Amino acid sequence: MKKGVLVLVLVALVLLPAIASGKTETAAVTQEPAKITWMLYGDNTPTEDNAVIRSLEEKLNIDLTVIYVPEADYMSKLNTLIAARNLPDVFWMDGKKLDAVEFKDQGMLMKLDSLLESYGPNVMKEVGDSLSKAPVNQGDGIYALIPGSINYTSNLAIRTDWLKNLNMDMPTNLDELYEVLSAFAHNDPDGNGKDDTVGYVGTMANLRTFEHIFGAFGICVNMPYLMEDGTVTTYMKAPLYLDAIKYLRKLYQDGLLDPDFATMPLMSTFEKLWTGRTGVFDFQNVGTTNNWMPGRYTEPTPPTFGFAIIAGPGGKGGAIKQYPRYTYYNAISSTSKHPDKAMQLIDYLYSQEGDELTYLGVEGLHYEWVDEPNGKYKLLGQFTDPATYRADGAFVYNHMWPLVNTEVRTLNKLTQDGQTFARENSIGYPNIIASLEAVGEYGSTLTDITKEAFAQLIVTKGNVEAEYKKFVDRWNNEGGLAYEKEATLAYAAQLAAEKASR
Amino acid sequence: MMHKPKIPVHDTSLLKSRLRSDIRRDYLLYVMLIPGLIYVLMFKYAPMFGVSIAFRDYSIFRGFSDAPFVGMDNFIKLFSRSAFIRALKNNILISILKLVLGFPFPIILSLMISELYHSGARRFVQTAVILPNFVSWIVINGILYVMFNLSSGAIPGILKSLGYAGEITNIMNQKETFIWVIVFSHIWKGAGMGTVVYLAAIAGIDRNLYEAASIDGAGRLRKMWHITLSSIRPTIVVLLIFRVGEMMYAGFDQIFAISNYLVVSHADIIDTFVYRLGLEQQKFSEAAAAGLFQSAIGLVLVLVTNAIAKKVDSDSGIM
Amino acid sequence: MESKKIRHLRESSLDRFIYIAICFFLAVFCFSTVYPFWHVLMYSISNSKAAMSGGLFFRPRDFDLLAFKMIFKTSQIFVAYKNTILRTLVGTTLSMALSILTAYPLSRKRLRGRSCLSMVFFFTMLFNGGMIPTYLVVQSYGLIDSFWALVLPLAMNAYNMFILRNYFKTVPDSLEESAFIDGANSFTILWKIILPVSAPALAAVTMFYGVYNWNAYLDGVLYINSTGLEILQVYLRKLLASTGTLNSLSGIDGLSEAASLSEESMKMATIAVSILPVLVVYPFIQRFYTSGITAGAVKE
Repeated sequence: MKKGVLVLVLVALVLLPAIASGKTETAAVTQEPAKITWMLYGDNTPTEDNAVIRSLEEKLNIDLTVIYVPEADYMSKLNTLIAARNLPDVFWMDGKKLDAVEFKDQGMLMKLDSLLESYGPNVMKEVGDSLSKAPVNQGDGIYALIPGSINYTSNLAIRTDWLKNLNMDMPTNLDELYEVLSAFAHNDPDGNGKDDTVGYVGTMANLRTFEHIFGAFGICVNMPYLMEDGTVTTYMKAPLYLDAIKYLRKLYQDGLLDPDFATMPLMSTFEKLWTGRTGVFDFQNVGTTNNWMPGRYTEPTPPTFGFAIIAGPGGKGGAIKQYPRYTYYNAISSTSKHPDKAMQLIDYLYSQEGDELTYLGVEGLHYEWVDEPNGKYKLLGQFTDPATYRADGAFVYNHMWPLVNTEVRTLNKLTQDGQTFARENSIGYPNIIASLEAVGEYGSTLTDITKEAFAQLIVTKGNVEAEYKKFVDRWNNEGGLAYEKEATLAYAAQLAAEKASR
Repeated sequence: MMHKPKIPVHDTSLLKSRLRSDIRRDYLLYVMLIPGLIYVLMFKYAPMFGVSIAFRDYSIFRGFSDAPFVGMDNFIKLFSRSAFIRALKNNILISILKLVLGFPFPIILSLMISELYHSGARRFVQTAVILPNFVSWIVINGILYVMFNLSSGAIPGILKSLGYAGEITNIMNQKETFIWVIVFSHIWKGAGMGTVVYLAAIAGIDRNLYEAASIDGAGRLRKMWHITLSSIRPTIVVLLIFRVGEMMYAGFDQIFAISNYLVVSHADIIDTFVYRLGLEQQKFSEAAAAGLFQSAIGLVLVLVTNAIAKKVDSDSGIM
Repeated sequence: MESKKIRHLRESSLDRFIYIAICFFLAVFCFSTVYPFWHVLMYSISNSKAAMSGGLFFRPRDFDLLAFKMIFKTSQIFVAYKNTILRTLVGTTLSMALSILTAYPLSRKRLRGRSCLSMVFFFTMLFNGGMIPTYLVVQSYGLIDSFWALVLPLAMNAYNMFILRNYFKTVPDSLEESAFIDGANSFTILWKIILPVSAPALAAVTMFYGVYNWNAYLDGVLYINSTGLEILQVYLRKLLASTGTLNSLSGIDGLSEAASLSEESMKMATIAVSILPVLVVYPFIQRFYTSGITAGAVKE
């Protein structure tokens, strides 16, 4: 009996892996399509064989394997593959987290100039002029490609239905914002007779939820700051920083800022918006007025939103300006056996057709246009279910966002207009493209100090000025001064280079 | 034949021949060890060349052999970071609290569970206490938020409805209270898994001992103390030694998930600090130096504890 | 039944008091440990919108299985389940075999060089080469992107091995001695004498390995490239984030109800999906160390 069990276990041990690997050897056929591996991050669950991959394979005559890594672990995987000299043909990387110049200098990136000439018309059309601005491309040629799009700007979305109920106008400055927050919190804006609304909801889990309040003080939260004398430093050292903090302090003390802003998970802040607890929300409006509308909002009538710009002492305000992403790379590894095919794949992703395929899926199978010029489409049959839709490859490979054009085109009008409005009113910051040594050396420590200061200064019962000074001293001593020196020089050089090229 | 009387040996050839005969007698035991040894050599010792990057200026682009040797530079750099020193101090305090308050708890819990008459109840309780182990810290953080947040949390809600008028604070936001959140949530989460080994040891105790003690009129407490606890003592000692060896690891997953910027000055530990250093700044060499430091301290602590255990009882300990 | 009553009668009032105190404490503690899991479960079977109203959960709000429907909608989850079940079965079996074979010799006091050999294993608990070097080694054995990459690198854990060794140590020499005299060799002794009396420890360690294999995540990310070998934890992690902040598509015309499913509901459902199989298997292993009181006891 026991022996039987043992034998069974042994047999299972030998057989199971064979079943598990599920690999069938493909017979060697002459002229088989070139094998290309493409690694990207993404948090979707496509099946191994799906319509979008098949479509790409047919289109480009390749045998495409996608390595699809959860976003949170992408850098760990890429680091490991670099160390193991085992890179996929095509991959994405964040040049701010990885020393791409060193990457190139060690000969691990394919030089792309001649490939671009032969196979990269779409890439050249979209980003040809700005490729050389990327630090990795400033040596002897082009080694990485950058996206043709820029990120979404934040919008301060305010519930216009609530404003109407309370007979108030869209706030335009900090005092008016205070009034609105106070009325939203105390005057039953939704008219349900319950004291169930709060004022400002923001979270340190994503500091973008505070962009406009800092914007009113001319500060880009969590970004470098350009002093009047040309010094580049942390936003924490901006002259009006403490005023911004004092404004938030006042909100906090008057019960108009959610007291758990330091601990609240991001999802909980969204839920407060979706369930009608808060009517003021600072985030990319692609969420507030497009993707979450109306499905996520729980009230019987979905809310209506307008976008506000809050002016501060300088009479201006707005969200953080978004710059072209010069360190957001797509590259081909130097070990690629089919660089020509790899480049064709990338080029296709930069084309309108490729963007539509990876974002919307296969036309006629997954979706069809209802009103193409106005970006209206509908999903077909079983694919109206997002899980089925994504499992078949639609949407999931669009995360490298070379173009994002299809997505922008298909946003609703309110959202598109909101984006234009936010862009026109955004606040710039010294966006240093080059990698700084001081960031590599002290980066996370310095960021930690500014975040600690942010949280601590808002809630402290002690002397704010004195505590602020202590944080600044700490920042200076922990490598901040070195950062300031290097950043100032780098930014001056960058400006000079831009001037010269003009 | 198992217990050789200890006789003073003067003749080295006698010693050698005894060694040889012992090995010949037990050669099958050595054969049994072969798979395990091959395994650790292949999968545990082979990667240990990586430890050397603690003494090198390593970059993933250049590889191991090309990384220049820099001696103790990485350690010096690490210890000159005041955030590391802060993390080290927090780490030691949190670890000691977790050890002193947390180590005995699963033992007490196991004793309690083993006291239950009804085997169904025993099984239910043991399953219940193990549940938190399967829920990740991220989720537990969400539940802590649901419990303690000030605007809609359960605890403030209960306090208010009871008519409590004083100031209510969120214990997750306060430096003074947060360390206790760390310690007690750790104890709570790990207790169930901790009972497994102790219960297995208790299950191996000869029931006749209890019968005999009952006949002698021993009460519940005395039986727990003299029979249960003393029978599982070797297990306790071994687990304690392991636990002491982990002193430099204060619970990355937990603190990474539940910490926030209001309490970070009291909650940052070596592992969370090193995580940021390694992943966000690509400082693999410094991270390796920190890891080596943790391991080395762990080794010293284990050897000391083991020696003490052996002194008290020559048969206990791990080596 | 009868004997229990008698036992109650025989007990002193102090003993009774202690017993009640223990029961009370355990009840409170169990409530605190069961509640979070209950919260997760109830949340996962509630309608997203109703669930968002916050607070604690004692029963579902607007019963709704949408999150589970979404999870089981695509075929990939079955691929992921299959891989995780296989790795858990194969991995645990292999781990147990290796650990038993190592623990037994090291538990024998007479073994020459025991301390040294123990040290060789113990050392691996404290020191490790790190993520990248381990990857390089696994790669050099040609295991990357194969099923064995999920099994072999984690095959033995020194901590578990020492727990077994410690238990084997408590088996009295006398038992072994008589078998030795009868001419049995070490393998027979291990199989026929040591293992049968060590059921509680074997069950405990099996559970440790099983849970560890079931929950392992990072090896699935690092060592596996192909979707066909994806494990459950990696699949669930992606699924969880896929409903993520900006990616929900509820704005598209003609989209079904699924658009209203919140991340939180999805998270709770994925946790339930990953834990429930463990809870189904758990009692079968557990009985060996909670009710094995006499079954595993050593009669001298």
